[in-house]
Amino acid sequence: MNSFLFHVILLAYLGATLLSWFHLALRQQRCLQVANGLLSLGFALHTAVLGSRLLSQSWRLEGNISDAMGLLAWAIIGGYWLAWWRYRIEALGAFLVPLAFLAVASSGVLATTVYPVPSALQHVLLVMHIFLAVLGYAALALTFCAGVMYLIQERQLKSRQPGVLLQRLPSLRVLDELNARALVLGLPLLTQGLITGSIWAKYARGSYLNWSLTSLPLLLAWVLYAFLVGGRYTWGWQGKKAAVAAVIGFLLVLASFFVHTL
Amino acid sequence: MAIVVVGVNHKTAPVAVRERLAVTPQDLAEPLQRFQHPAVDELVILSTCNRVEFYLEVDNTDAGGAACVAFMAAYYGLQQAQFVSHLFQWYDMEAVRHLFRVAASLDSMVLGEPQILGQVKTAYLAARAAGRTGTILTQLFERALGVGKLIRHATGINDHAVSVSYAAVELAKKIFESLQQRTVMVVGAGDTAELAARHLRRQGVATVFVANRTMERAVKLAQALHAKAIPWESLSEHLVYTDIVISSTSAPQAVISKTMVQEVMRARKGRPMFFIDIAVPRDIEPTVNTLDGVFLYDIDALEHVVEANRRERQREALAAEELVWREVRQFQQWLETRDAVPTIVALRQYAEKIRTAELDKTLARLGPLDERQRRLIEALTTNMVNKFLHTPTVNLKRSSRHERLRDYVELVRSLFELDT
Repeated sequence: MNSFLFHVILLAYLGATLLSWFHLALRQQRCLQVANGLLSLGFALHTAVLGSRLLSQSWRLEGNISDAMGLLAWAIIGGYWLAWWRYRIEALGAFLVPLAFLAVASSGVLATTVYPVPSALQHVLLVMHIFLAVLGYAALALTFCAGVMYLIQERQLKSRQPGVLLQRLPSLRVLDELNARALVLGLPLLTQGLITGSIWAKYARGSYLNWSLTSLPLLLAWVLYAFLVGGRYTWGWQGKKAAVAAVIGFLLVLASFFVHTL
Repeated sequence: MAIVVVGVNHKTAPVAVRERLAVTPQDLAEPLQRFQHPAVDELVILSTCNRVEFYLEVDNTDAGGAACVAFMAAYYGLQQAQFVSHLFQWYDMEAVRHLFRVAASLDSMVLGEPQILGQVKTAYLAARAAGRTGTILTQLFERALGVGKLIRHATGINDHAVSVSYAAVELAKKIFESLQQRTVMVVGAGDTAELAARHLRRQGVATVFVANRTMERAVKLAQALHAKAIPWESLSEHLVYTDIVISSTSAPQAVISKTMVQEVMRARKGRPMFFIDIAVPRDIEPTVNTLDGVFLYDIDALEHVVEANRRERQREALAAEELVWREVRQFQQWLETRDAVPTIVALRQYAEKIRTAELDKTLARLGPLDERQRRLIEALTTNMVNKFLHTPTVNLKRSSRHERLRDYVELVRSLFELDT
């Protein structure tokens, strides 16, 4: 990414992060407005940067971790706007935008080494894998935030000593619904990402799976999420259970991601 | 030209005195018309269940205040001694600050209550309809209404529930988001339970059940609430379909146990439930709160929430007081322009603008002149303007002595359009 634009986007996301924290703490509408403004700016620039790269390379993307992280940040902010459009949760930014900021920041420091792709098919698979996985991760980041917020709010209500956060976080029902909806989006994406990833692995390394540190937590996470989706309707796994599962699932995903990159 | 407020409120007078002085909004026209006094130029009467206040614009504060007290005695048919000790009087900026605080609900019994703003508006409109408002009180009350609205938006002063039933509704909304399709069950009977149920109804709750050991009492309460009375034995069955339970029986022991709720939650597939236990001794086993998805608030817990909200309102009130001070200072600045000196200055500036414009135009047309000619022409214009303005200026300055200042200032400012 062009260095100047990269820094602008990075700063925009950082500014939005700090301002959403201020808004959570002080409840000043001005903070939220500026935060959203910065996010719009950053997102627009980000979209433009990604779009121009796609076009300039005639849709021949390269697969490297740095780009994947950049794409992840973009998808997370896209998810934020989706959630804003549907639910307008004022506190969401404070939890979600820092993740996007970290993703962009890490895209600046991570290796831009490209995986060797001897064949066109492998290339397509790799790109699809990254694309689907990243979108899936973004949706799961949303469930993670919804889960964290749910657990905080549930704590406030259970303790019967409501603190300031009670008013600033949305209702349990909205948070639970956000969790469920984002999961319905994220799980299929993650599944397809895993499938394409393992097909690519077969071509590149000769086996569909390797039970390495990378894949194990990821598979565990997938199983957890799958149970969560099914369990919600059959066993009533909603509310606190769903929130805890969403948090654990995402932490597993993160763990596998870090191992993957290092 | 001064502002005075004379009145009683819930801090200075008991309700027995306040009710003698109260005037309903419909009847405001009468005292507004009847209170005519040479010292009183403008008048607004504000009368609510917590205060009766006369806002006056007067030329002389002592005369105005005394006239008001005399009128109150005459109009209400009271001896001055009966109410004078309960009266408060504020002048000028203190009076302005008082009105702004009242409009912002900072002076109300319940900080942040919403009705006062409408009541202030009614009082102002009644006075305007009776033709008793002039420039000063019009501006004062328009500003006061603006301040009330501003503080409502800029601070959280009316955000949090400060009564038990409102607090219950607020908590329910934090669990269920919307109460529109929720089901409520009232277990037992009692005023508080009924009030809370009514509140929830007003928020759009769809179904209400009533359960009581005595079927007749259940039916009676159900009728009052447009609810469905259910047999006591089917309590736990119906709980499965209930989201919010208000319990208020006179039973000496718990009527809703942890095991009962556990089974209910299993049948509900974990959908959340909100229990409000207002009974003493408590109706619901406290350990119920440990169950996932169940939130149990007894009367103490609700009072706790109300107390925390009250403190939050107090904090917001500090911010509101700051805003009020700022508005008072702005009003003071406006008031000062209504005085003689700024008006005279504005008038002179207006004249000077015309003088210099015409002078420049003429000098340009005349072509080259020598120094003496030029100075003579300049002197002509200056002297004309000064002589012309001399008499009005002197009279404006003198008018404060014979109490026509306000009228003269108004007249001059509007005739010469000095405010545009």
